Amino acid sequence: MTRFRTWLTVGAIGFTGLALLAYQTSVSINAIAFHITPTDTTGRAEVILRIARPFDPDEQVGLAHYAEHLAWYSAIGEDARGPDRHSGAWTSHRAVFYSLSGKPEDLPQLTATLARVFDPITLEARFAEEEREIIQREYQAMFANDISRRADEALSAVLHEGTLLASSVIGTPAQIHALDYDAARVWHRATHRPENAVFIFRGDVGRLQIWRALIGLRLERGHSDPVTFHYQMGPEITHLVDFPDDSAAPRMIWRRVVVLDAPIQFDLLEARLDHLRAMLDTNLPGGLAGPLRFDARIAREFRIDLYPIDAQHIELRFHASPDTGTSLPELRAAFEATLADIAASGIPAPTYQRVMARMDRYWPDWGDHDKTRRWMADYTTDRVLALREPQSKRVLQEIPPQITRESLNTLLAALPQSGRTAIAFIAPQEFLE
Amino acid sequence: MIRFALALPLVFGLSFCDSDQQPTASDHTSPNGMPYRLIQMPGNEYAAIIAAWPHDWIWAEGRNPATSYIGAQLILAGGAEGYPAGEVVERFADMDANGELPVTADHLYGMLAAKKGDWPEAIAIANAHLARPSFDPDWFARIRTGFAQNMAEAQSQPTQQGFDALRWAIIGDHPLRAMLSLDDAEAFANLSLEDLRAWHSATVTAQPEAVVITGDITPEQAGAGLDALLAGLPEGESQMRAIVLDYHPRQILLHLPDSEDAHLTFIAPLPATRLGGDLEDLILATALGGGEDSVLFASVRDGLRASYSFNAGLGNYTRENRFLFMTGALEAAKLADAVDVVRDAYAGFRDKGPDGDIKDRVAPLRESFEQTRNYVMNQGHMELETTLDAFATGHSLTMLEMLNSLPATDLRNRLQGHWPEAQDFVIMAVSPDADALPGACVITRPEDAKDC
Repeated sequence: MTRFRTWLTVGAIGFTGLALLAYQTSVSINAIAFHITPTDTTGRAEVILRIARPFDPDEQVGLAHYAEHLAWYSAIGEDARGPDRHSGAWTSHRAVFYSLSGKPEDLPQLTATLARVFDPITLEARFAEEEREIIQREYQAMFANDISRRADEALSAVLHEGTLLASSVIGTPAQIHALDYDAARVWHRATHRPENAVFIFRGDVGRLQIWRALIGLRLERGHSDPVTFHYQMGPEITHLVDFPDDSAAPRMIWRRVVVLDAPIQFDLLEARLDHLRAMLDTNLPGGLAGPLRFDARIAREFRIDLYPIDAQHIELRFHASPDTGTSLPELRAAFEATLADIAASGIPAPTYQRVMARMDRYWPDWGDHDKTRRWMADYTTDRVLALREPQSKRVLQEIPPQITRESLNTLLAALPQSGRTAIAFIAPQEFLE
Repeated sequence: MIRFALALPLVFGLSFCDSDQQPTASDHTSPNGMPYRLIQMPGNEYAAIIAAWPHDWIWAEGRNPATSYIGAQLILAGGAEGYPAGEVVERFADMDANGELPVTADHLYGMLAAKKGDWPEAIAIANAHLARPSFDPDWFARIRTGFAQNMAEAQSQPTQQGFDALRWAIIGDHPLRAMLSLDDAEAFANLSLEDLRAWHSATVTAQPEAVVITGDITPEQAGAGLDALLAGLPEGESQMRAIVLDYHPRQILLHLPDSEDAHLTFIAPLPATRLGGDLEDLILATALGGGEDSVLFASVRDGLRASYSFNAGLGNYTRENRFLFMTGALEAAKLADAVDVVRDAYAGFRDKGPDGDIKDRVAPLRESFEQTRNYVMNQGHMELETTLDAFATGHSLTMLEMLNSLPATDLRNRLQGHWPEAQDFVIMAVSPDADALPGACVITRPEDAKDC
């Protein structure tokens, strides 16, 4: 009896210890959200840390991007990079990202190094000032000589006014010049917190290995609400702006946001828009290429993009160069009239069937384990980077039958509706007069 | 094989296949007597033909430098006998097929890939476009205007003007320079359909210099496909030409007062790929200036704090005239310091070689080569380049093995035996400050660089 009690006591203590260990482990692991997307890149592991950006309409333009530069240098620095390590950092409208890749056996070290972005920025003031000048160089390299990018930034400010998507990530040279180290540190401290962060583990990685890496971080999760993406379209508007440039090849960027009557599950909406885009981009009945390019000399080339902003808002972007003898207003009028005609008559059944047959490669071969695994890894990464919850394979497999001609024509009918439209004419001054 | 660097990132969505069986290479001759290399890729659902025609059009005096670019685009887009423009594009989309006609100083490349079952039809369409293009005047005008407008916009960029000045300095007045720079707006205005017809009949002939066919197909299918592709094409007389370039070390500054930043480029010759060493060059160029863990990033971004990025790369003006370059945009006030920093960084790199374990250096390339084996177009392009360099059949398939067995000493030997010394570079700066680079030959127009 005594021996039984002893064993009972030892067992109880042991069980409690194990339970405590398991609890502690789960607390450590759950202190930060993470996704595992293994791929077949043998011998390479990549860790991406995504920090969501809370929407603050008064946030200084370019501040998040500046803070990202500084946090990357402060946390990852020259000593953390090398022949077997690759690192990067970038900022989008929705989040700030840091990445570090290396050997799979170094995963705990890679993860711990990346997690140093949660620590306060400790760069010397002079270095931080210089980094602001580096961002000026980045602007010069990426934007100064690319008038289409600058036009798109101006159009976004109008199109998405009042939302997270309106302001430039990098800013203008004057806005970059106004960036301040202390303000960047304050912004960094307020946002770079485990509760705003998600780790993505890619490549040659396993679950146990990742748990071990996360337990070693000893992060503490705060109690603020997670950052989510919210989009509210402003009042209907049509905004036209000229971008004169003596050397520019004449072109038009035409963008419109429309709101749908009811939300559609995001993955389904995106798939439908991708299929609709493929149909509009043809020389088949119901496509834009016939009326604008092959049957008439209106656009010498064009590109159409169609994508969801969220479950209820979609954006259409049409970028076109006019043919000789066609003015930019004529190009715009022809495009809008053609779009309206196509939307009124809908995508014809033969075009729908023919393009649907081409889209069989849109989805992976679900029966092929390796291909599906690769595809799901990229899909999951894409969704997590955009602050969206990835869906399961089962949910995705239910989408194709829902891409009906009727559903596409319903979306198509929404495009000519007067949503929020912003248009840029880019050309030498004499072409704009 | 310089073009590996270009070919590797081109991951064609079409033509993918996973198979446990390794591809094999062999030499064949088509029923009509055209030699070709076949890479059989078991299990791949696509097939490709990649051909290279010798391209000496521009060497003769008085030829229009825009001819080949616009000619190639017009063949692809402007329709052919029996195939009106706009119809083929839809048929190719149905077949998940892809056709391209890239132009270089030495060759016109023809690249065609399609699903195996659609291959005969894709070849028939391609043959019609190669042998009987419409050369429609409206499409000609459209493509010519587009090229002229796009080039005018590109020429306005300070970086582009710096590269133009480099070509004036190194190539001089040779017609090849005009073709590579396309900086003469009059060339577009003066181009005629007759020019295109003459270029087409002289270039697109029944005698490509090399042909590679890839896919899960038999030699019989491959040979028949090749003969069908070349049917009706005229006999050819093109040949390879040689040019002597002027790489004597000097510093040139193109003064552009309105330029916001400075731009700096170092350039020096490397041996042609036919002499080997291109794998080593790829690894070395990446270590020198291929990203945030490179020598130049550490020197110019981390150290001098002058640039967002400063890169190194491999290029060529002609197949025989290959070069190493280091280039980037800079804070204008730091230009002179940057010249010293880049030169010192390069000298140190050439002396010591890349840091770290060579296995880490080759890992990204190994992954790319492994992926290439799944893509008919990429694998075919690699093999074609090795064919043009007269390497043995299947040389492209041995790259992975060569990479795995590459010793670190080969990298150092390559650097010290074949890479230029630090003082051997032509240095081209573009700056808003005419005095930014003491001792440089200062010019205000790219064409003045030929006198420096």
